[in-house]
Amino acid sequence: MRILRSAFLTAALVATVASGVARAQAIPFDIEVGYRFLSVTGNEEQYRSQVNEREGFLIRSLHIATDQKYAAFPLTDKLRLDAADLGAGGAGFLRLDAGLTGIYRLQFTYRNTQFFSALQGFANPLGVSVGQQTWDRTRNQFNVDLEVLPGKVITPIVGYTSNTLSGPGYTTYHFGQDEFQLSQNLRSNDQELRVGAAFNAGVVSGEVIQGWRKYHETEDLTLAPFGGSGNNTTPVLGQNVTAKTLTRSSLTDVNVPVTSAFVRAFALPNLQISGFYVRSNAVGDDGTKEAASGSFASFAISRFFTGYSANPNTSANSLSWRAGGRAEWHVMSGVDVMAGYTERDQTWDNQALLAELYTGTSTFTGFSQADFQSLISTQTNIERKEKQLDVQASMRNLGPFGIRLGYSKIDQDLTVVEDPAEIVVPGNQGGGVRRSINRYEGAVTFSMHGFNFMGEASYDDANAAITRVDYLTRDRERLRVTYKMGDWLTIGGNALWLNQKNDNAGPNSAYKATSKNYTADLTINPTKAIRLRGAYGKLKADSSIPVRAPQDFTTFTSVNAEDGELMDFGAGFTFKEFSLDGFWSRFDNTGSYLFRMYRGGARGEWNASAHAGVAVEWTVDRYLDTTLSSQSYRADRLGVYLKWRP
Amino acid sequence: MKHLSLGVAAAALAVLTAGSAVAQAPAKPAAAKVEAGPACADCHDEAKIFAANPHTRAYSAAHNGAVGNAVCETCHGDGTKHMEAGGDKSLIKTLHGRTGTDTCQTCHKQSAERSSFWNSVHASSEAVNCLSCHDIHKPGFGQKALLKSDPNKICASCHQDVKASFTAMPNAHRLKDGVMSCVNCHDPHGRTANHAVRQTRAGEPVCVTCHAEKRGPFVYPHVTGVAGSCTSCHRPHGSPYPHQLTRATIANQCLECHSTLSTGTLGSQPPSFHNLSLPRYQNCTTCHTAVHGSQRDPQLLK
Repeated sequence: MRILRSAFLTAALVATVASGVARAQAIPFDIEVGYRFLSVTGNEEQYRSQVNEREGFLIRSLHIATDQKYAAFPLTDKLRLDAADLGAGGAGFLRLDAGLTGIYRLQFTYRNTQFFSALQGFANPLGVSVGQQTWDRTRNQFNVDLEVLPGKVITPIVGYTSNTLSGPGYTTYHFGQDEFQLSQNLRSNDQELRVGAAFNAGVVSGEVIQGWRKYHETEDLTLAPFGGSGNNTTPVLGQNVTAKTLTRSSLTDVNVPVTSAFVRAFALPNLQISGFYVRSNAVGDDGTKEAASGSFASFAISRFFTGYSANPNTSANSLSWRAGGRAEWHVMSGVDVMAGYTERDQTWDNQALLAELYTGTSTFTGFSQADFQSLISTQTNIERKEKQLDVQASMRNLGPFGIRLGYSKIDQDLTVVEDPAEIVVPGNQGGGVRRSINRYEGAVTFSMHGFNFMGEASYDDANAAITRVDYLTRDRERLRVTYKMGDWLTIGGNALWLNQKNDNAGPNSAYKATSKNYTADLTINPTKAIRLRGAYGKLKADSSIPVRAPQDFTTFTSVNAEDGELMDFGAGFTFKEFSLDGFWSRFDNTGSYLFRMYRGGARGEWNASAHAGVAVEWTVDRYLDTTLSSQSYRADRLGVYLKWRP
Repeated sequence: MKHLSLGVAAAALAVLTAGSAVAQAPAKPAAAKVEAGPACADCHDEAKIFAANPHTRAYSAAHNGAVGNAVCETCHGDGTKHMEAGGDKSLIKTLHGRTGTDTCQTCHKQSAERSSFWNSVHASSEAVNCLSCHDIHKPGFGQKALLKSDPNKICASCHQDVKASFTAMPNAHRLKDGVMSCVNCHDPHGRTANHAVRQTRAGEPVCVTCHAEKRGPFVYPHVTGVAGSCTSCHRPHGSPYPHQLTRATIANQCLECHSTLSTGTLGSQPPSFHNLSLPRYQNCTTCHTAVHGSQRDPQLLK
């Protein structure tokens, strides 16, 4: 069905575009459309979780671009349409940018992404064949923005965004001292309508936008087939825990008005001052109906029970604003100084009324009891304040050298008021945390006779951490060196060092994280017809932090290690109407998780005439999971496409 | 109310300013004369195709339909002596490197809340400047915004380490499909703070532009936007681990914060029945499915 639908959509789009172009033959137009075959050996679910390119009809690429006015399209003097991978999926897009100079500008974007996740070894440690948390969902995103009278003194702006995620899945639910697999059907839609205006009065310009965001989500869950026995294979206090029925449906609505204003002014020709203010107020309501029957236990009420129903109603409010100003001073040619200040405040104020009814209850020693009703009213509150000051200077007029220096200070103030209902083990769940970060950064560049050097470094110093993996000190250095000889040779090298640590993360040792990346790249184009490139990289990351095991409170060190080696090569060749491009890469990872990833592909084109041609494209991904060999796969895609350029 | 009034004041300022600007708008210049002498296009092919360039359209619209040499001279200066000398390159302004940037910034100099043409990290030197990424003469099927090539390729030409991560890692955003590009999350004209990562207009992490269901607000929020950000647990440039997580096992991922070994940090200790020696408890999200925040369960179970 999905292939048929994609074929229909592909054909409809091609027909629409073709009919439009037929009316305006001269508009430059280029389309590549065809069929992609897919062959997967090994773990297809892992392939779909990582790559998910599907078999079917595909608009591989579509380009329409003109900067002229045509009789068939009198309302545009600029039209640009780009699309790729529309049809079979898993990820495609279409972008339109059209306008009439000085009258309007219309931008439209459509994106389709197909998500799949079935990760047996990872999201399902119990090892059943189908992952307990699996989904197969589609996200469709539309965005349209219309500017009227662009560049004039007043430019009205209207915009609309829609983002829909829908599809089936499986999830788990911990209930009555066991976990049960549930079939899930989720649909969420996030929309925003924006209205506003930009203004440009020469020395003063800016923008005021009022938006209304609306989020709507429905989720329906039912006990999955064979899910009633749960994960727990042993009785709880001598009683088997099983579910006969389990359903839950919920409806979530969030409304968010967002107001933003931005003003900039040239106080002097070389002094730009800007200010902004943004306010949003999110109000969310959620209603849920839940019912279950079976044989369950609850430590919270110290009873066994056979039935359950609940109707929680909750509301979440989030009020935020931020405001700030900035000055940018163009001191002289090549010398700039700027400073900015931003203040931000966000408050969450949340309430929940959880009404639960347990039926068929009995005590853990077997005495029958009346139905048990619980009513929990909770209220949580969080306030986060942030102030940021930054100062920066750049000197780019020092011959072949350029220098940039900067300093910033961020003050964070977080107050969390938790509700007793949230507290399972007292400690570290609420209170006030204050963190102040000083950042010093600098960069230097050098450029002469094809040789380029770029180096940058930043050093962060914080007085406290909000979570245990927040750093107290953080150093980051990056270098890039290239040498370019004409258009035929480029040699480059990159190095990145990142070190961060928190000495207050544990009693015996600190949180430490380091990352070291080294890459070298070479591009050779000996003639216009031959293209060669190669890259080699070492990607290394290590981190460690002491953690506490919940079951016995012993301390052990959580260690993550990655040590990867990348080789990546590509070659291209063009001869008359033929062209051939290929690439191959291998990544070998050792450390905490061992795997090897091969990616490769080739694309051949034969442009039989100026207007038509054929392209054949082959790509392969081969994932060898050394840690969990059942996760390995090889996926080959072969696409055959017709090229048409009227 | 205070904030509302500030918003209204800003709007009023905008309207008033615009109104006064309308009143003070300068008279339009007289129609540009049609040049009778030699044209740039006589020698330069770029000038022939430049008539359809956005720069020509903008110039023509602002100067009563003027086209031709006047458009070229906007950036390259007066070409009279250059023409009279038979094309002497020393007598015309050629744009490259930082001097090219200076020319671009005579018009493109306005800043926004988080970005600045004047002071972007990519506009500050001879080595990296406007013309490193843009080719203003680019015709036809050239990229949007007159980019030299696909944005991802341009970014990768310097940020090879990031490209390597996307190439190597099995779990990464779909840049190779073209459905996403670096500029969806990063503003190349942004200032340096926080790697020029974009935010939503309301100030949320750019991630929720697509992952809207993680946006909240939630009655029982988790890390995102409160105590940390999405990158506290996920690696946007690709990861060896599913869901682009930062750790190979979920239990370690969670316990690194949820261990009461530090003082003054947020992150509660799981109760003792979470026996990590049993597979059932090794993946926290088997039960805590609403890990991004829950509307109805304090323990993020649903």
